[in-house]
Amino acid sequence: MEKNQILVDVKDLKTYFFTDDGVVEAVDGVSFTIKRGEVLGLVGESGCGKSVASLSIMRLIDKPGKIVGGEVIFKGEDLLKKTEEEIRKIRGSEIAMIFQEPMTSLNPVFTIGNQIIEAILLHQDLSEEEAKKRTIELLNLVGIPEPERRFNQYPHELSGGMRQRAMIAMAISCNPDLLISDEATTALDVTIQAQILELMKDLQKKIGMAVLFITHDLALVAEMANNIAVTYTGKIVEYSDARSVFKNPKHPYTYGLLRSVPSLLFEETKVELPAIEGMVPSPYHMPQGCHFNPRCPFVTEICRKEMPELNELEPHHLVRCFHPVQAAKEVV
Amino acid sequence: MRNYLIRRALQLIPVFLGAILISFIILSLVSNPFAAMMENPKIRREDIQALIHAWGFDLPIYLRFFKWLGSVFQGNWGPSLLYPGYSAKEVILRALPITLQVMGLSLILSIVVAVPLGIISAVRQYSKLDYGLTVFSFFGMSMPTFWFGLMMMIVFSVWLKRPSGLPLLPPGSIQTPGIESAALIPRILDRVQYLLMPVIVLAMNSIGYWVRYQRSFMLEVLHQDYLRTARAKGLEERKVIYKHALRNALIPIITLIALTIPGVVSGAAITEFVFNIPGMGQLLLQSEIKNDYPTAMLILIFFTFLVIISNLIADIVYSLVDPRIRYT
Amino acid sequence: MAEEIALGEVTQTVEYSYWRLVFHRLLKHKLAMVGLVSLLIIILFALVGPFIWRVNPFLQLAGGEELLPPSVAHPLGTDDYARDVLARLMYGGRISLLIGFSAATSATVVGAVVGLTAGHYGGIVDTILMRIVDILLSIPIFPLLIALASVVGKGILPLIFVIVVFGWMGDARLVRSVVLSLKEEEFSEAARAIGCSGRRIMFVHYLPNVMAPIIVSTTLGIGSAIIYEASISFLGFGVQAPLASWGNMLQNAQNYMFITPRMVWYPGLAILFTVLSFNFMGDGLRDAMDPKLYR
Repeated sequence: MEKNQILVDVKDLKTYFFTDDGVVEAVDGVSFTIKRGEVLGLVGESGCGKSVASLSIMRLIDKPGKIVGGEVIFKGEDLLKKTEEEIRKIRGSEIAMIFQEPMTSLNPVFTIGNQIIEAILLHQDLSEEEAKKRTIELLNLVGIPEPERRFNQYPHELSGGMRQRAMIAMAISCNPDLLISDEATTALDVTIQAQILELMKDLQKKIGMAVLFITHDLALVAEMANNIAVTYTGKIVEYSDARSVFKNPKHPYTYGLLRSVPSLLFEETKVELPAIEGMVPSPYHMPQGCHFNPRCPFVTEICRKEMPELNELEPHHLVRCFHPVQAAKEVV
Repeated sequence: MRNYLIRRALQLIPVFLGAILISFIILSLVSNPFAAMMENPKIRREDIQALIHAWGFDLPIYLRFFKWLGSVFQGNWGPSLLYPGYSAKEVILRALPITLQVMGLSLILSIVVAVPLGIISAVRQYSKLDYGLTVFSFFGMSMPTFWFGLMMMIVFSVWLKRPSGLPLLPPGSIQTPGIESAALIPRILDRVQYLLMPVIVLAMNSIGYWVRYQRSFMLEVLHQDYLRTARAKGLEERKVIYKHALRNALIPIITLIALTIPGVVSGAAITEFVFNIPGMGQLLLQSEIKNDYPTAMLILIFFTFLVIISNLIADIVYSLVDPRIRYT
Repeated sequence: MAEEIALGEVTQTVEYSYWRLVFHRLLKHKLAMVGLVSLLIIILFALVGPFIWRVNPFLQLAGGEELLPPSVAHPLGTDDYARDVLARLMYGGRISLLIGFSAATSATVVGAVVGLTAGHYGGIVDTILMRIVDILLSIPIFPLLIALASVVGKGILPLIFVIVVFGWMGDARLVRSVVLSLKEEEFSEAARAIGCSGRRIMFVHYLPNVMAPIIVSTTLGIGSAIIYEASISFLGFGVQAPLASWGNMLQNAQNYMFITPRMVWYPGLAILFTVLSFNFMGDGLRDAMDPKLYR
């Protein structure tokens, strides 16, 4: 297993939702790559299409949504061309996913142990005894105390943080190559959030799996991600390694996001927190031209007419803007 | 668990007594049941007076209630005014198994039909089958039971006939005369042909409601996040629905079944009336019409008890089935 | 709910009120529209029909005219008292619909008042009221309806009374549970804080929020009230001859069921389609008012 081998190569992925009120282009030509063992942070406000992109990779898109274009090359093969049966073999074993709400993401009528064993037995040829042992090992690994007791408990008997740990245990049970974490920490308290993040970083190093870390919170990705892709209304607007994005944000949106993070280090404590004006546009009424133009402080005529392409401004730093921010002050 | 049961049972006792009290009050407002007996020359005055005393009719109503309740608990249920010469106990006990058969079979039929149909309807939402089942369940809910009974009789007893000229299904009563001497199997088959129509008629209303409700419970479950988790694990769609979804969707139906029991009892009364089945429902209606109110009260007690017990049983089964409910 | 329409630089906000939204959703609901249309037809039949088909429903024709099959003079034939069935069906419709509507609305009003009171005041008031609800729900309704009917007498008003007495409990429970959840919300605290009286809170603040489930419940309630009316009249209580109701027409028909089965069809189908329409509409209303739509 080469360290720098490309694991996932998403090319121009398009997923649209065909609703009664119109077509929503939730994911509109998104491309990114993840190498083995790498962490990619997919950042954006709610509704920008990041969850839909991850569900598309897993082929978990249901009506009225449909993957209408692009390729998802995983380990050299296009996932979008596989049969349902082939994809099921990959789900849970090679690519695993954890979700935002641990309370509703676990079935309330089955025990934790039961649900984890189900994942194991689906993809591995173990006896029930062995699966049970492995489950208890996993519960231990994710930091759940008294794993034997917890094994027989139901989801409602665990706290939010523990449920999420159990979900993680379930996800890594078959040693996946890629873990997709879809806002997995958003619903948790801040301190628990930090714990879960630590756990994920730890596991990622131990197991060597790649992570697609989806969040709206920039601060979270700063710690974990190798690369960051910023999305807005279904398109990637900035894509580079984490350091470049934080030190040298080029897209006005990224710049706005970084500036709006309250920092304890800011000297000017009396200055108003700069927020990005306006709101994310309704998917049924997208602005013409660059979708960000109504909110952009650097907007000009061309922004209102044409959609900019994703350009490689600097080596390995892609930006979709006609007026990328030049030489920004160090923000963080 | 046991403590919970005891507590619940204690809570239900006042409800039970309250229900009996209200039934008692309503029936007491009906005219004196002994008036008819007074007319009958065959019954002696002294006997009637003895009955009046035994039943407390010479007392004001609040005392009467307790005297009557006392007699009932002692097992002294009095004579049947509807069928002079028989005791109320005999008359009721003879009708009891018949009603239990009708209600029981109808309940089983309803569950066996409605639950799977509701689930299929939900899984195949918006399909032709779904729309068809929806319309079907609306018909079931909207049809007056007694009318459906009459229609069934017209179709199966008047229009459709056997080669011998007899109706395809008997339009009433419970068994062919003389069948008591036959062996078990022929007796069972005979009973089945008489019960077929009433059981279906009685079940129709429940089936209509339950298909709808089961469909909506199942739909709610089908939109839950944990099904997405199950799919993300690589589980095949069939297992996602029949293992993960179903287990959750079957829970609410238990409460629903318990809540429909009063309706089934009411429906049974009128179904028995229409099909002339000598069960407790018909007995109750006739007792009310003919002012045999002691018998009527006894039957009402039984039905009320049935309703309350089924609520309790529903609670118990619910707690066994839903791990989120644990009564400690 | 508001929509932002971006027209170049100008954005216009269009506000849809809650009821307009409900109305729009209702129009899309196929079954509800079928129900509405057929309901209108039935109401027209019963209310306006007699002005077009001017035949006296009480008039008994000469002897020998009983139980005639359909003819031009009597499109639905005559009944066992030589009265025109079509006319009786129309007039019977008026009575059945009237009873259904008044019983259902009264039951809802009683139930709503009880539910609001129990939910708002809580404590001992709530316990007592809910115990009464429990008790009444444990009694098998129909046999007791008959008993009560034999006590209060036969006729239309007693019939409505009887249906209301046993029909308000469902609404009470429904309204109470809505009120309980409303109590938790901040506007309730605010109302109490500024000194609103209990009555004001209940009727001015809670009631509008309860309207949606109440409307659904009343619509469905009309259907079941009509069925109760039919069942009670069928057994001989309720609407008395010579007045016609769909229920007592069936009572007549039962005696002649094997000779002229069509007498059973007409009123029965009338009841079936009326109740069906109310149920379709009630279901459509419920979906239209439900914030979560499974599309």
